[in-house]
Amino acid sequence: MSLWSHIFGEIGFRKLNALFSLLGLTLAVTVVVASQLLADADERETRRVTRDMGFNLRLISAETDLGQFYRDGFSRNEMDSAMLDRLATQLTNNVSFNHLVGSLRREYTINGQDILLIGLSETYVAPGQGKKPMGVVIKKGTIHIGSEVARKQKKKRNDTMYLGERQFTVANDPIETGTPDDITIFTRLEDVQSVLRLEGKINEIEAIDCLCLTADQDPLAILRQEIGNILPEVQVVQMRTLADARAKQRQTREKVNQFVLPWVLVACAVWVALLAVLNVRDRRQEIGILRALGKGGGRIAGLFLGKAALLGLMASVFGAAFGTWAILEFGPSLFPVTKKAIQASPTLVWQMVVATPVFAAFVSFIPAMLAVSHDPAESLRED
Amino acid sequence: MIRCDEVTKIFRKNGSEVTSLDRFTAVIGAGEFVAVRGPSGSGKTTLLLTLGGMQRPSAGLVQFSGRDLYGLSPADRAGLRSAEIGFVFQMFHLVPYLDLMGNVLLASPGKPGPAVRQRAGELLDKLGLAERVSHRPGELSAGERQRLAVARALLNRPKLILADEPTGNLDPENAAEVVRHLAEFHQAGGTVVLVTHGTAADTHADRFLSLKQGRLLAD
Repeated sequence: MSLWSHIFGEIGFRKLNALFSLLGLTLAVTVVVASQLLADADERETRRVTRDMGFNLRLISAETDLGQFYRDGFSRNEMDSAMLDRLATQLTNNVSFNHLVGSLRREYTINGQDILLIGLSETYVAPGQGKKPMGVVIKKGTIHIGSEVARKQKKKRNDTMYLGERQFTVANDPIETGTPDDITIFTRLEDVQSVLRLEGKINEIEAIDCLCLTADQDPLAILRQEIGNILPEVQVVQMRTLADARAKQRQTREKVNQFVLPWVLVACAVWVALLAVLNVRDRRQEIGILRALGKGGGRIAGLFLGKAALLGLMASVFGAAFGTWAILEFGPSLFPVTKKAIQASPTLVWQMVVATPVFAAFVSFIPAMLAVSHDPAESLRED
Repeated sequence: MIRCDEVTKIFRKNGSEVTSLDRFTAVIGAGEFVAVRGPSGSGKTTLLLTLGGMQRPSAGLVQFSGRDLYGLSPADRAGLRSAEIGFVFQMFHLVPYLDLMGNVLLASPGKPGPAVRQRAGELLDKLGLAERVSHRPGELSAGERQRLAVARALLNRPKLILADEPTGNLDPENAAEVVRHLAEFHQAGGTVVLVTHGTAADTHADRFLSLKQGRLLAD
């Protein structure tokens, strides 16, 4: 009588016990798969949405009068662009800010129209994160113009425009935004420095916080301390509404991943273990007779651990299918911005196929040991 | 075959002690058919389980074919049970989800080969169960279940069969048939120790042991 035919026979005989165990394990796998795919989707959505929100930290010269800054929308105190390099070299996973972009902003007049001219540096990100730069990448010799600039200057994509003596090509389709961007021309930092004859100067560094601070921390105080240690000559202005929106979205995701998931797993583990204990109780006389027939502890344990592993294997397939189906079905309505990126994960399925039988055997280990250590004489005398 | 010297078994529960076997001393020779009698609670089942290596005595020595049974490792003792001892119980103790063939083959120490399967089939045939080979124990009468238990006990050609009230749940006709099969085993050279309340074994047993309160009263 092979171990597996013995196990299959027992599962067929005590269908309810096996079914409830299978349901518990399937639920656990479904939750793990769904939450993992959900977390991936949420991570993408959060990054995309918060990226679209824009920078929420503005670093300006400490000498800047905030009244002037808020009135004009930029600082009139320049800083050396070397400060940007200094801050960029300190970008690690241990600091609370990321995505640094240096800029030079000034009002400018072009063909009688007062506009805002902004030069943007490349984006600096912490090493190894491989993050895409925020906003658009401006190619050399090109400019991005606002809708009001386009209307008054009668320019559209691929038209040429002069800033001072330099010629640029319009690289965007101007769209009305209802923000100061409509009267702004964006181009590369060095081009604006050249046009304004302010080589080597910037008047702002933009950044975002790192999505790593918890609800009980004061993010602004931490950011000011970290940045102040590197650049004492700047002051940090946080756009609180954007920062709070980012923090709220991140904390919601973390709550799901760090609180709900472990408790579901613990509940499923307890459920499966209790069913295994009941199974051992039901089978005391069988254990007794197996002992009387000379079967060793390994065979007895194998009956229970093998059953758990088999149910775990089945649950991994069902759970992976349910979890994936749930996310593919409902994910797009939850994450409309990144819905096309929601996909099944074969790697995750394989991980479940390996991990679930191990998990099931692990939670059934104590009941299996109860079976092994059960005194067979006790059950054999229960006539 | 079996030698018991001053074998004592004391059960302790909730602070009180119950002596189930009290300095039991006896020798059971190979080829004997021994009937053990006594009232309920006299220690008969304890004696049987102790002789079968299933219940370690509190004191005393049990020797099986010259070997200290409880001096063996659990694995060696299990191996000895598998190879040399067959059990038959009053409540049959069959595995409910295995068919008759599966229950008999359960006694096989390893994966049963064709020879073992053939022997299992012959035993089922001999015990009148060949027609029900694919049935499960729940579909059998009490007498058929006990004959199935006997077939399982005989599969490995044991030297000793320990039978604990095997006729206790059977009508006289079935009881006589079960005892007849045990007697056939005995006539073929096997040793039988049969615990009983009744008189079913009287015509076959060649020795009677009487127990009372764990003590051997008569041999």
